[in-house]
Amino acid sequence: MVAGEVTMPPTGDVDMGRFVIRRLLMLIPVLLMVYTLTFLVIHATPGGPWDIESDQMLPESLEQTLQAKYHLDDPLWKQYLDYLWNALHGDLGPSYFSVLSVTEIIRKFWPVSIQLGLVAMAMALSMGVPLGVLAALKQNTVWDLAVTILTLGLVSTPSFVLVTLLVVIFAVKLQWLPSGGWEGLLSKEAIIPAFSLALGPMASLARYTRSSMLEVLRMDHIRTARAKGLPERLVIVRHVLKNAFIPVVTVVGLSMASVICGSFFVEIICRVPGIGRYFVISASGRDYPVILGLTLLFAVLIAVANLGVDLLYGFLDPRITYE
Amino acid sequence: MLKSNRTTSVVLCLTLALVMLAACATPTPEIVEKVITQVVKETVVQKEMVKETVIVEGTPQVVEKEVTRIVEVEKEKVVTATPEPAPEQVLFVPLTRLGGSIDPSLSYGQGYEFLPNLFDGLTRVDYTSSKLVAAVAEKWDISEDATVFTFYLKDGLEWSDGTPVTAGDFEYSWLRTLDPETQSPTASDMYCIEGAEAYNKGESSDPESVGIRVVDDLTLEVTLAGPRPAFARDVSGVVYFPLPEWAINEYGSEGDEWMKPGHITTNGPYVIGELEPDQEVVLVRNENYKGDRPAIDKATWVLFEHYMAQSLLAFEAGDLDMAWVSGDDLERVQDDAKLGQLLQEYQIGATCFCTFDTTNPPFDDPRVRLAFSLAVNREQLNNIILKGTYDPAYTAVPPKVVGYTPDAAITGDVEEAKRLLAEAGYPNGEGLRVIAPHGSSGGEWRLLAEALQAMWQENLGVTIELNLMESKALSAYSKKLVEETLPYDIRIGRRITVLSSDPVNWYNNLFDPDNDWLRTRWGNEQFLDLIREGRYEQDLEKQAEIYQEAEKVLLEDMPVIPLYHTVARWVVQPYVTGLVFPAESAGQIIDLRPVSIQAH
Repeated sequence: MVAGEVTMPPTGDVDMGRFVIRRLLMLIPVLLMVYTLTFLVIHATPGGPWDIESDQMLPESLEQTLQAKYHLDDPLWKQYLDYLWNALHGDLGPSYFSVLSVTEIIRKFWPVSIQLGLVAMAMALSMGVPLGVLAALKQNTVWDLAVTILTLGLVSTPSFVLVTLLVVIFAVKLQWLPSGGWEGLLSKEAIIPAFSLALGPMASLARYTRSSMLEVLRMDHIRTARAKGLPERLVIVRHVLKNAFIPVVTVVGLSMASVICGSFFVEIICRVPGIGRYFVISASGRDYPVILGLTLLFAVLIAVANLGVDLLYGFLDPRITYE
Repeated sequence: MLKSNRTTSVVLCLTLALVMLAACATPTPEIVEKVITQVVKETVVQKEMVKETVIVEGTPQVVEKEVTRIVEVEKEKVVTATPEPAPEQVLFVPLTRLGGSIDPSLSYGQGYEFLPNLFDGLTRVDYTSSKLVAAVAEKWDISEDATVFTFYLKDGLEWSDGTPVTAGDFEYSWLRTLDPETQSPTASDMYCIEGAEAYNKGESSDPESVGIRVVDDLTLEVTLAGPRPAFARDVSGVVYFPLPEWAINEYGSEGDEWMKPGHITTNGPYVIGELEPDQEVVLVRNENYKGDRPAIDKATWVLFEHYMAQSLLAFEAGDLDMAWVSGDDLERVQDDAKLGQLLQEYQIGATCFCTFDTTNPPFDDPRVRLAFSLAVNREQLNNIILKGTYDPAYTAVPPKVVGYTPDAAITGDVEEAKRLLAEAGYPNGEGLRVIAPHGSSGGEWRLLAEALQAMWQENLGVTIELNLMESKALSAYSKKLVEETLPYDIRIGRRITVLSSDPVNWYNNLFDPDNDWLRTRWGNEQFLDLIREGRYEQDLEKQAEIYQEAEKVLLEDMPVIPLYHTVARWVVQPYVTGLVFPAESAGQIIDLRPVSIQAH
C-alpha cells in the first residue's frame, strides 16, 4: 500500500484530501474481507470454546447450556450476519471467558497497551536512531562494531527471553523492581515491560537507520553538498538524515501498530493488564468474538499506520505525490 | 582495524561479565528465622581448684583446695521465638483464572479458589482436619433411607448488611441455579434433589415440584431423588451456597453487577473489596460476620495466566506469599538452599490414566490391556522421565479415596506382559499397530506419550503411532468418537481430579457405562453390581469393603492404565501459618479462616 513513486509535481492539498478519503473508503472492503476470512478460519478450526478436557469433571450439560447462551447453535450464516450487524452497531459481542464484553475489554485494556507502546516506541526512537547514525558516521570503527553486535543480539533475542531475563535480574536477584503488576505508566512496575518492548524495535531501527544512512551518504547530491563547502554538520542534518529517514519511517509506522497492540509475552510475564494478552488466549480458548474483535482492531490499525506512513513520505520527499 | 576489533571484544566481554556479576552478587533475601540467639545473663555455681598457700606447722606450703563461688556469666542461648502475629495481616496469593462469572450459580470453576471465603454453606469441610463441620446449619437429620435431609440453621446469623440468614436464602439460591432462565452451567450438580432435573430442563415449570421445602426460617427440608448419604457433604460446595435475593434483585446479575465491591452481600467471613476482571480480586473482612473472626485482614488473589510456570518468580521476588511449583521448577527448588526448605507437597485426589476402547480389537481382550499396563515401567516413567513430579500409580484411585487398597496394586513384570500378549495371539507384538492420540498442552504430555511409546515398542514389540493434537482439537475429536460411536485404540494421558474422597465420584462417575466419563465403553457385570451396591451403602466400613472389591475387579480387567497420582507442590513464606491444601481443595482453594501471618 505504499504510495506510488510517480514523480509528478505536487498539486496541493485537494489531492491529498481526496487521497486520504479514498484510502479510508478502501478500508471497508478490506475489513469485510478480514472479517469473512477470520470468521471462516475460526469456525473451520477443530475444537470449540467449551471443548475443555479439564482435569475436573464438568457437567455434561455445560457445553449445551453455554452454546445456547451464546447462540453458537445457530446456523453459521446466521452467526456471520448477526455478528456483522452487531459489530456495525458498535457491539463486538461478549467474551465467552470474561464478564467483560469485547468492547469493554478493548476500552479497558487497550489504553494500557497504547501508553506502554508509545513510551516504548519513544524509547526505541530516541535510542535506536542516534545509535544507527553513530554507527553509519563511524562506519568500520569500534563504535560501529559495538552497535552492530548490540543490535544484532537484541534483534535476534525473542521478547519472552528478554523480558524473563530482565525479571530474573532486576526483580528476583537484585530486587530493585517488582516482578509484575500495573500501577500506571509512571510507576516502577512499568519499567521492565517498557524496556522489553523498546529494545527490539530500537535494535531494528538502529540497523535500518545505519544502512539507509550509508546508502544516502554515497549519493551524488551529498558529494555536491560537500563540494560546495557546506559544513559537515549541515550536510548530515539537511541532506543525509532527511533522505535516510524514508525507509525508517516505514519501519516506525509498522512497529508502532504492532507495539501499541501490546505484546502477549511481555503482558503475560509482567502481568500488565493490556490487550496483547488476549491475542493468544482468545485463539487458544476459541473465544470467537474476542478473536474477531481484536483482528478487526488490528486490521484498522495497520491500515491507518500505513496511511500515516504514506502521508509522511510526502513531507520527507517532495517528489512523492498523492493521486 | 584488527586492533580496534580486539579492543571492542574485550570491552564487550568485560561489560557482559560485569552485568553477570551484578546479577549474581546480589544480597540474598533475608531468611526469616524462627530460632533466635539471645545473650542471657545467668548465675552459675562454679567449682574451681585454687592453689593456696597455707602455713602448715610454720612452713608455707602450696596446697590445692576446692572452692565454690557464685558468678554471673554472659551466655549465648538459643531460644525459639514465640510466634507473634504481624501487625499487617495481608496475604498475596496466585490465581489461575479470573475472567468469567464468579457468581456461584453461573461459574463453572472461576472463583472457586476464593468463593468459600465469601459464603458459608449449610456445612463446611474443615481443610485442616478434612472433616465435615457445621456451618450455617448447626445440625442435620437424615432419614433412614438417606433421601430426606432436614437442616436446622443456627439462630442469629447475619448477612454482611445485617439481614438475618434464613432457610429461604438457600431455597432462593438453589432454585435460581435450577431455573432454566439462569442458564447455570452447573445446575446438573443438583440433580440429586427430587424434581430438580425436570425443573431445570423445563419439563416442569413449578418450583414447588423441586424437593426443597422451607419449614420455617431456621429449618430446611430437602428431599432427594434417591438415597445419597453424601448429600450433607455436597451442600458444603459452591453450588449450594445461599445467595442474597434482595441484593441480586437490586443490582442485577448481568456482568456480576451484584458481586462488585460495595454491592456484594455475603454471609461468610469476607467480602469483595476490589474486583478487577482479568487482573485481581481483593477480599476484605466482613465485619458483620458472627462466626470466628479470621486473622487475615486483606487477601489479594493475583491473576497469573500460567500460574504454574509464573508464580514462582513472583514469589522469589517477594511479591507473593505462596506459589505453586511446577515439575519444571522442582529440581531447582529442591536444590535451592532457601526455597528447598519452604517446599511443601500434598497428594491431591488425582490419577492420570491411559484409556482403552474396550470394545475395539485388540483391546477387547483383557490380556492385551494387562500386557500394555505391565509393559509400563512406572518407576522409570515417573522418577526419571517426569523427574519425580508425581507418584507412580499402581491403583486406579489415589490413597485416601474410599476403595483404595494396596492389595489390589498392579504386580507383574515385562516377561508376564509378553506372555499375556502371546496368549492373546500376538507373540512378540507381531501384527499389532496402535494409534495413540495425545494432547499437546505442555511439554510434559509429549514426554509422557513418547516414553510410553518407547516402552511399549521395546517391551512388547508392537508399533505405536503417536498422533499429537492441539488440546481443543483433541477434545473435539474425543467428543466425535462418542457422538458417532467410532472405534479408537488408546488415549494417552487422561488426568482426572476429583475433589472428594467419596468413592461415588470416582468409581460410579468414571466407570459406570451410564456416565462413562473416560469413554472406555467398558461394562463388567461384577464391577457394576459392586459399585451400584456401594453407592447406597450407609455402613461406611462395609462401603469401603465393597469398593475395595470393585477396585480389584477393575485392575484385573484393566479398562484404563493408571500411570501416576498427582502431587501438588507449593512454597509458602515461613511467616504464613495455617495454609493447607488437602485433596478436597484440588490444591487450589485457599481457605483463609485458619491462616495468619507471623511477625517477620
